Amino acid sequence: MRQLQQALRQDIERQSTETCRKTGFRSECLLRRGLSDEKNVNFVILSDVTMNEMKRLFFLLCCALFGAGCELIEYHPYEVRLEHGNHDLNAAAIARIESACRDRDTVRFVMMGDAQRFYDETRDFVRHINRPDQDSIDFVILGGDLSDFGLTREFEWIHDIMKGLKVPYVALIGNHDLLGNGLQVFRAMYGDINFSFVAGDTKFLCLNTNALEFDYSEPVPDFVFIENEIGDTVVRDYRRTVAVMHAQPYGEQFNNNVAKVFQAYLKKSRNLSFCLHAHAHGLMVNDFFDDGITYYGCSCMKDRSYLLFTLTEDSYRYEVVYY
Amino acid sequence: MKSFIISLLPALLLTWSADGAPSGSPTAERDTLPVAGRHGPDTEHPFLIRRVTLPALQMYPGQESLLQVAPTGYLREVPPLKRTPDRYVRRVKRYRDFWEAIIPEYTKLHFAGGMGLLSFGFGWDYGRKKQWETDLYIGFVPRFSSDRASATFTLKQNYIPWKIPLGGSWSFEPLETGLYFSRVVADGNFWVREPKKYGGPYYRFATSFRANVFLGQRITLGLSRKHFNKSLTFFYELSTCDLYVVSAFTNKYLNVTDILSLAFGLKFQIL
Repeated sequence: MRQLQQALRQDIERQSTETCRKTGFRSECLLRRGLSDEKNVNFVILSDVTMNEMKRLFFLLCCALFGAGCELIEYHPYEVRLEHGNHDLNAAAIARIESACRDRDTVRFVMMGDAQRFYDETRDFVRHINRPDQDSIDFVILGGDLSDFGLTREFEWIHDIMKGLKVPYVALIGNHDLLGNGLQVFRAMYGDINFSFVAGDTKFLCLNTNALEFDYSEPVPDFVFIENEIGDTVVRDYRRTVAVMHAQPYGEQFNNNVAKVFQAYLKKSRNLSFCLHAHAHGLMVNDFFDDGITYYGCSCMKDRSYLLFTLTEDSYRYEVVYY
Repeated sequence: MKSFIISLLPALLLTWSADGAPSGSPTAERDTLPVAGRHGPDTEHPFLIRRVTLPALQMYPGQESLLQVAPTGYLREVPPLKRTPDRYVRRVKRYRDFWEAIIPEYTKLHFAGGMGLLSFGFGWDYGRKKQWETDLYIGFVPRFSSDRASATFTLKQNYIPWKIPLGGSWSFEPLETGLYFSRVVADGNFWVREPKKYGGPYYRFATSFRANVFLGQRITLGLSRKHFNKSLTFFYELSTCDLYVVSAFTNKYLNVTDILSLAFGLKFQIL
């Protein structure tokens, strides 16, 4: 019996030594326990204590990862599962803008362009706007293309940066935001893709013009929405209108079949002053329809520039700012 | 009765040779003589008798052997037909062998990791130390704030270079790595090849296909014969997808934790 035990012990020892050689495994904890004798260590490696320690370590690691990594849990890059609080951001921003600008003659706002995958530039933009000498700015309009691939995380990354702004911002939908489940993400996160708000004495008509991304199930541009805005179904006090869109008329995204109709509708709104757009990744000033309505196109964030508009009682002016 | 059979026999020619008279009990080999009626339309052999039935015919109780009635010249033995399995049998065998060869060796349950909330998969392990694994999954993503849930189909390749026995029936795999391609079937703006409406390359990527890479670790518990599964493996993985990598590489703002995704899973080894 004793012989058998001896043989068994030797066999285990031989096996464990081999394992150790193969894996290069050395148990520090065992060495610390005073089992510094090489032979002993090799033998003890297979003991229950070490085994349980390794097992426990693995499961502890998993628990720690799970506990610390709930944010890392992602079911799909295009899942429409938003962080708590990232809902209806435009509505909240509009409420802030409207209350802050009420009964004001002069309103200053920033029109910024495509932020798609330009996180560093966008972060610098936020720092720039937050500077103490910029305190006259009332709000920021993000002209669409928050994301590059329509991924949910992209929307949240941009919002994480933009929520650092001292002033409220509203976001329009861009063509890149319509990829994958982007439309669903935008609707859940920011709200309607056509919306309007009044700042001071100016109404901002924000329109989805990314027609190429839709079929006829979704009217782009939405003339019913524009009609309702012209008809002022919701009574609001304002003197002029500024139309804001992502894709400009006669661009490849726009429904150019109705470009002139679109313009005719817009001109029916109360004192249309000018129009704003993004999308082109370059600074643009155009009178597309030769009718005195200017379309100002801001560049993308990569160019580190934005348009700063000042609306006064009877006119407006704008600056191109590079930061 | 006897006269009835006698009258029948000349008509139904017995093909039993006089020299090859039955010798004792029939063997299994000899029993493979052609079955009666097999050569139906053949005039030379209109009727065949199995060798095994001969003794019965010869030992008709209380009578002389029936076979004596037939003239000896009429009886000759036909060589047994060569009974190779016919094409149908071979075809079925091939079909069965094929499916048997690709029978999945394990099933997996995968939680998160950019391929669905839960994915159910099966797969095959191969290689000298079974260090390679190829899995196929079907998963689902709940609708959350959108209108519809979506389905995912994933092809995953794993490489598990080392296995450390922990004693008992436990073992530890300190590294698991590989890549997987996940296809999502959803209601949104998804494509594999860009639709024609863009008139050429426009976005230059496929919204419905994601390529992921991952690193992970596993721990395995061997199970006794009482269980259906041979062993149970628990694993966790950290992964990222192609578009996240592109985003992180072009920006300092994003760090590693922004683009990582954590997954957990179970592997049930059947074969």
